[in-house]
Order: sequence, then C-alpha cells, then structure tokens
Amino acid sequence: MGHGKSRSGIHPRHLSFRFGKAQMKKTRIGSHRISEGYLYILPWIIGFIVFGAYPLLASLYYSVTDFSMFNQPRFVGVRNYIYMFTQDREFLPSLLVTFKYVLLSVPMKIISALFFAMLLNRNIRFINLFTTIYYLPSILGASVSISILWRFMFSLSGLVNTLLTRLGVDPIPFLEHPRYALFTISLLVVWSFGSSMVIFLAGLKQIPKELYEAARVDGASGIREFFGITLPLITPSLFFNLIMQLINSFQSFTGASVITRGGPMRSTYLYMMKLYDEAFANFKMGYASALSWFLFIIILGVTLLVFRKTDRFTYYQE
Amino acid sequence: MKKLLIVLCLVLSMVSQASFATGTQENKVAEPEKITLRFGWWGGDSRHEAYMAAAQRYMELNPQVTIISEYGGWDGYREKLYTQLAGGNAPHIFQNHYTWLGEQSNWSGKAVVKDLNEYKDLLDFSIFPEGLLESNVIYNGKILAVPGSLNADAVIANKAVLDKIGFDYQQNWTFEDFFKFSAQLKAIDPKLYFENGMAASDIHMYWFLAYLVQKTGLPYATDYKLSYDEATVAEAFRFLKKYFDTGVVESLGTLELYAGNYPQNPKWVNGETGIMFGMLSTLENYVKALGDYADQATVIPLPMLSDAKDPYYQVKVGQIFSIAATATDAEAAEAAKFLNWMNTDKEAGVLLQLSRGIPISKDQNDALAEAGLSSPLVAMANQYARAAGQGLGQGSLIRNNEIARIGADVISTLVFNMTTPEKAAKTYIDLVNKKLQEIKASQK
Repeated sequence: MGHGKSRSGIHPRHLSFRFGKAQMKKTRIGSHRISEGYLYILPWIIGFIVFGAYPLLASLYYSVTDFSMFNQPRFVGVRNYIYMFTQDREFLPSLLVTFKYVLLSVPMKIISALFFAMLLNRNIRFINLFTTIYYLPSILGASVSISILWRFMFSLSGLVNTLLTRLGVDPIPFLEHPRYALFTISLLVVWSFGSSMVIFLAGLKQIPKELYEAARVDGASGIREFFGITLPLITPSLFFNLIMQLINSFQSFTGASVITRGGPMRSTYLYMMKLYDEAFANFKMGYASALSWFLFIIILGVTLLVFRKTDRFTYYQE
Repeated sequence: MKKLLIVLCLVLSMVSQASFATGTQENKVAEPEKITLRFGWWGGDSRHEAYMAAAQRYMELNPQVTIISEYGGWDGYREKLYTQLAGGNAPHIFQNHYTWLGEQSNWSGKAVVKDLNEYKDLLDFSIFPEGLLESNVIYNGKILAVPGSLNADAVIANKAVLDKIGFDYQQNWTFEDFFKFSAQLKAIDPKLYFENGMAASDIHMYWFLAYLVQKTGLPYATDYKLSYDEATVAEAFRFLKKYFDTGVVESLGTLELYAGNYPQNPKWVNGETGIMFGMLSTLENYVKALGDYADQATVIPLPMLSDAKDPYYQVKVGQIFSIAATATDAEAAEAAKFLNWMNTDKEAGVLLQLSRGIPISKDQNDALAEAGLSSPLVAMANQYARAAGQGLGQGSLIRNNEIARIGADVISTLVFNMTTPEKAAKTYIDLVNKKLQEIKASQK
C-alpha cells in the first residue's frame, strides 16, 4: 500500500487498519474454530499421548537401559542391541523362523482371499450369505479358543489324522514334528482370510465389465482375462493387503504360543514369542524393548521395500 | 411476612436435624468396615472349587468381607503375577512359590509383599514344624508368605494298564526299570505307554535333575557353576535318549502339546498309559481325569538309582500365600485373618480337602479323617515320599526361565536326533555355566 491519500480521501493507514481489523476478526473466528476443533479431538489426543506416544517413547528409552522388574532402569547405551546380535542364541533363530512364517502365511492368505473373492464376485442368490460365512473366520481369528481347537484338530490323535487314517493314510505329525509344525501354524492365519477377501471383493467390483466383454469378444480365455485384466486392475487392493498382512504376520504370537509354545525344537518360536519371554518370563524389560524396536525397523524396512518394488506394478484407475 | 415464615421454617428444620442427628449418632452401632479382598491362586478344577467354597464360607461367617476369586492355571501365572506386582495391582492375597521369594525380597528396593511378622497376633505360627518357615519363607528376617500345606513328588499309576504286566505296586524301582516295564507293556500292546510323559522343560527339572542329583549327591549349582561333569551329564542324556527311543513315552512333539495340562492327554484319559509323575496336590486332578478308570488309580514309590547318593525328592512346603504390599492396613489384617482361618479352622480344612496338598495343621488333618475325606492315595504317596528321605530337591536355579529353556532345547535336539548325548552334555554345560555367570553378575 502506498503512503499517499487515496482518491476517496481515506488515508491508506486507515484502510490498512480497517483491513487488519477485518482480518483480525476473521482470524479470531478462525482461531476460535480451530480451538473448537482441538476441543473435539482432545479425547483422542489425550488417548494417543497416554496410550500411544508415551509408551512408544518410554520403550525407546528402556531399550537403552538395563531394566528388569527387580531394578530401576540404568542407562547402558547400545549394549542391549549388541547383546542381541552377539550373545543371544535365540535371537537369530527366532528371526529366521519368523521370516519363514511370513513367507509361508502371507502368500497363502492373499491367494486364498483372492480366490474366494473371485468366487463371490457374482450376482447369484444368497451371495451375501456366502460372503458372511467366508468372512466369519476372520472375526474369530487366531484367538486363544481357536488355537486350542486347532491343536485338537491337528494333533496325532486329532480330527484331521482320524480322517486320514480312515482313508488309509498314516497319521501325519502336523504339530509334533519340526518339518510340519510351522506350516500348520500358518494355516491358522490363512483360515482367517475374510478381511482380505472383502478388500479384494471391493476391488473386483470396480473393474469395468466392458473390459471382460471386449476380451471375450477377442477370444480371451479365463486365465488370460485374469492375468490381463483382473490382476492388473486389482493391484491397489493387492498392494494394500500385502502391506497389511506383512505387518500382521511379523507380529504373530497367539497361535504359536498356544498351540506349540514355540516347539517342537523351536521350529515355531516366532520373534514375538521371544520378545514376550524376555519381557514377561525373564523380566528383562530393557532388552525386550530393544527387541521390539528392532522388529519395528524390520517391519519398516520390509514395508519400504515393498512400496519401492511394487510401485511400478500398481495400477491406479483415474 | 412470607420471608419471615421461610426463615422460621429453615431455622426449625436445622434445629430438628441437629437434634435428631445427635440422637441418631448416639444410638448408632459402629458397623464393621466393609472390606473387599482379591484372592488369587493357580491350580486345577478341584482346587478352584475347593478354594471358592472356602471363600464363600468365610464370607458367610464374615458378612462385611467380600472375597473376589481370581484363579487360573499354573501356565503363565508367574508372568501375570509379576506384571501385577510391578504395576501395584496384585491381588490382596495371592499364592506364591517358595523359589520366587528370594527375588521378590530384592525387588527394586521396595517391598512387594507384606512382612507377616506384623500380623503375628492374627496368624497362628505354632502349627508350623520347626524350621519350616526359616527354610522356605523367611528372607532377611521377614516372613514373606505363610504355608498352608505340605507337598511332595508322587507317581500315580493306572492299575488297568499295569496289571497287564503283573506290576508289583510296592516295589522299589530304578530308572533302568523304565525300559523293562515299557518293553513288557509294548509286547502286550504297542499302543500302551509305561509313562504319560512330560514336556522337555519338565523332564529337565524332574527326571534329568533327579538322575544327576541321585548319581552325584550334589545340588544343581555351587557358586553359580554347574555341579556335574561332562561324563555324568552325558550319562543322564543317554538315559533320556533311550527313554524316548524305546517308546517309554509318546514322542516329545506330542508331549509338548500337553505341557501344563498332562491329565488332558488322551492316552491318560483313555487308560493307555501306566504312570504319571505329579505331586500330592495334583493327584486328585489326575485321578479325576482317568474317568472310568478312576477307581483303578494307585500310587507307587518314586524311581531311585540303586546307588543313589541323595534321594533328590523331598517333602516341601505346598501352597504358600502372601499378602500384597499394596494392601491397606485394614485389608492386610483381614487377609491375615482369612489365611489363618484357612490354615487352622477345621471346617476350612474340610472344604479345602487335599487340593492344596496335606494340611499343615493336625486339627485339619483330623477333621479330614473324621469327614472321610482323607485320601488313601495321598497318604500312601506321602508315606513313599517320606520313606525316600529328604533330598536336595530342585532348588531355585533350575527354575530360572532361561536355564529351563536351555535344558528344554538341548533335550529337544537330542530327542530329535540333531545331536549325540556327549555333544549335548558339552553344549548343556557350556550354556548353563554361561547363563549362571550372567545371573551372578546381574545380582551384584
């Protein structure tokens, strides 16, 4: 603004004053609204600070301390992290078992979810009922009661082996032998594919039917349609499910803990079980916190890797 | 005028309230303070029923007291309890373990359990045999828990199985006899097993350590160093290898599925195993699990090496209970009264039966006998345990979770043919000694 008088005779200083006042009034209203907004989300903010941010920061601090149930935290720097890699005989084996578990369970779950989503992507009677039935296992999940049921089903004298025996097949030590135990535990996770299935179903429903019609006109087979149309167009759902399942699988605990307790021969001793043992059986809270932060880095690294590698393959419709 | 009437009414009501209130206070009988106690323990169904019945009866006798029972299995109890102790919300009264008291007495510079010396006027200590408290529940001059029972290792047998081989139930038998009896049973029916079996961690704490202690007469560790040489440990591992290879028990993988819940093993329930290792306090549960075979249950002596230098087995404190340090004075006093009632009252003894082991109080034992609730099996097992002599027992170090896992892991690799007994012995000694040094360093 200039310093001379305007043609209206009003001094610019007055104009700026009037303009400032309006702006101030606007700012007051704006800041009032902002304050109101904060007030509405205050319960969440308090909850996040108390149950999210504080435990997160506390565990980071504890990870660099020698802290057990029996003594106050004592700063030890990176000693816990060094111990992890140099002296803890269970650390690397549990990490290896967890990676094996992830490589087994995630693809199986995604393939199952996609398969059933494709089956349910039809307009037939009672389709909603079928969708509900297939979704139910994911509500029950790998809970303690289902894990106990799994143990009874797959033990040597369980239901599955009883059926196999009737069919003339020798009983298989699904849970009693290191060769099979991890695979059997993975099935428990795969069983609860419902939530991934629903995501895929939503993705499938968004694929324009004209594409399939055009493909059929061109003589494309079902398999060609799947790889040429379906799969590329559901890559966003696939990507989402992959990330979510990877994160969940790395943190699996209940099934292995309840069913096999990490056995036989530590073949199902997942990383989270190791973390639990250090925290609540050995009471080494400092070391357990270091383990949890290492797991965070692993999951972050794997997630970033997936983001990078799948970016080119993910097709987002405009 | 209106204002005057209102003021008059107010004054009159104030005066009348004051006089009535005074009268009420003068006539009011002091009611006992209402106390709510949380009461936690571990066990099986029979113990849960017994303790809840006792708590219910105590509440009937003391209407001002409410007792909330918090019970569960042994598995995970210690983890949950310690988390509660750290968080300051442990039950007012909770079952403790005599091997945990040492670390609890050193808990981060604060007390997590009450010193029961403060409640000597409410607890009858005269029922305890001399030395029992000193050797089990007193640390640094403080009484950290009060025992309610005695317990001992025991072996329960199913006559429906062992009668098939003409088993002599009074015989003294050795570790080598495991193989003899197993072979005899397998010759009759390959589906039968001599023993119900345990998970690797329990085998480590019981059979493996029993073998070592009986062989050498030495405790598990001396000055944080394993007491046994490689040759002796290898011999114990050879025993365990043969124990699994010859089918004395089911495969280790199967046994691991029933860790902490051995009576649920279908082999036991269906009467296809001959014996099961347990304690006086678990006999009832094991018998119950036999179902149709329950009347065929008996007990046999504990296995002993022929040249045993120490019996290993011992009659020890059974259930002990502590009062949480976070209890208020009133809560702690009432908790002490409740504990004393459970320990000394005849009716309480009858309600609790033998779910906790053998009551320490003679009056309670007599009451059980009068009520026809004494168990001949428990009495016989107690007799066998006493006849074996007072051995070194397990101690606390082998119960350390990390040492228990070393034992379980080495036994697993041995049983799954990933190592030999000699290599397993070397690995075991190296790992245990390393861990013992870590424990020693952490206690400085």
